Amino acid sequence: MKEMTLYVDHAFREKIVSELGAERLLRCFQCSTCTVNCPISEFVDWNPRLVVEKCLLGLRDVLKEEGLWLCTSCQNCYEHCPQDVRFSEVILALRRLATEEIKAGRLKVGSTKPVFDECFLEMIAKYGRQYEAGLIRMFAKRSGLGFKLLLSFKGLGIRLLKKGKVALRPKKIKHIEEIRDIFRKFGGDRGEIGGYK
Amino acid sequence: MKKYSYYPGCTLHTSAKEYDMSVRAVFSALGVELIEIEDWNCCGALEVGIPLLAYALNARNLALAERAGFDLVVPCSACFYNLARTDHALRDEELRRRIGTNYARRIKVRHVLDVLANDLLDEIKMRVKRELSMRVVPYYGCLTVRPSDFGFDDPNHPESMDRLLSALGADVPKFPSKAKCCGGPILMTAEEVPLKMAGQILEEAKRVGADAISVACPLCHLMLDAKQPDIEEALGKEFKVPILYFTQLVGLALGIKPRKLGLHKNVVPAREVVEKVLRQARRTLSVGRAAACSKKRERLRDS
Ligand code: SF4
Ligand code: SF4
Repeated sequence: MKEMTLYVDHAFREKIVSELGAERLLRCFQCSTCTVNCPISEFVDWNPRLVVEKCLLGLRDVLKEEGLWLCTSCQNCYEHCPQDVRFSEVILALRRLATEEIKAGRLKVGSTKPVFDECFLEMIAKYGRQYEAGLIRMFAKRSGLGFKLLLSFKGLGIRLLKKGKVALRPKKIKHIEEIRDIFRKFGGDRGEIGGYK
Repeated sequence: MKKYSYYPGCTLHTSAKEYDMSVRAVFSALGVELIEIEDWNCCGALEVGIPLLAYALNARNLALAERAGFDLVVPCSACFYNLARTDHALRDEELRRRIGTNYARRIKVRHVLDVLANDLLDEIKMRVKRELSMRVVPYYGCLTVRPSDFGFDDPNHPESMDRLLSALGADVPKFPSKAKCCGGPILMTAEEVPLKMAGQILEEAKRVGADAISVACPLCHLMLDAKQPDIEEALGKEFKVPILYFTQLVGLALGIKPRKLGLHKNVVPAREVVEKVLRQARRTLSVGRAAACSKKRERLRDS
């Protein structure tokens, strides 16, 4: 067997741990309770325990994990962890770091989830509430999926339309300036997106 | 009159209209007032990965509710998660200062299931007009009960909906999938995974012979109801299981008209189970009437 030496990248590990929500990372004792309880690991290649291990070793490759974008935020890992690591919060931190890399052009991911989340936030910044029809249109355009996306959700859309469950116009809240203010202060670079400065 | 503040959340105005209709109808039948907080904003659902942004968005709603002065009732489990998570985090004064909120945690954030099953169960029982003669499985999903740091029920084996539905006369079998994840949050970006996840829940409901599944979250509802035809197609199986909001079932038991509960808005038709409940109620009623009549006859004869 070929031997391999692995150096812990302390700087990157520190970077993750200093993110809000990832403070408890070092408590992990690698018991796999999170993995056993994770509902998506049954269907996709995703092992929460291993992801924590990669973080602990400071492996930058951890940001390439496709599962980062498949996590459903079900809170099973948070709930069951004997060390209170709160892995679901760690995921949000990793997503933020990955998004930075994507924006800097250093990372490419297959998932459209980062784009979806951005569109979702932009809708809130614009109207103060979610506007699904507008969201889908924006997402179709920005993800590059275009008609393909609309086609794959055609059935769902028609069913909801038939039951009168789709809003055809956005509703803007009265004090939208308060929302814009929140985005400006806490939205990071998102505070400046789409002209909601 | 008992009063609560009400945060409907975005979906209750669109894809979950029947949830909004049935919540309002049930509370009004119980004589409990719901006051929608003014000018509320979106909670951010599960798409806000920046904690401070999520806290600030939700703190605005919490402060609005606090100004109104009543505990806040929330029907959507994702909204409940966000509001309760923020309320929990804001125990930290430093954090409150950091996001600049004047919310002082003088009110409580409550899921509508918690309020109906724990605060108002006696009022409901007193007013039951029809027994729910059906076999129904309770499905809680994730964020209704997890994390238990700020939840109101057991995170793996919740019981509140079971208790509520049984009290209304429903046959509630054991349902091991009751707190499993339906996959809803990744529907738009990785559709094939949630189709399988929700499929397993529908399969188990079929296996235990359920007439319907009762839910407490708009996203679970969308996944199991409006997406059910797509799940059937993907798995090559037929389910046709009606998915009802638990408030629609409570409303039925309270004798509220099905239309007022939005029972015509569910995608998988609920007509058959609703008819079953109404038919049984009429039968019980006529048996009851016949019994009353024969008693009266006996009294007349004896006098
Ligand atoms: S459950 Fe907690 S301690 Fe165990 S491996 Fe997962 S994160 Fe680490
Ligand atoms: S929150 Fe994400 S990682 Fe944690 S158990 Fe659920 S799906 Fe798995």
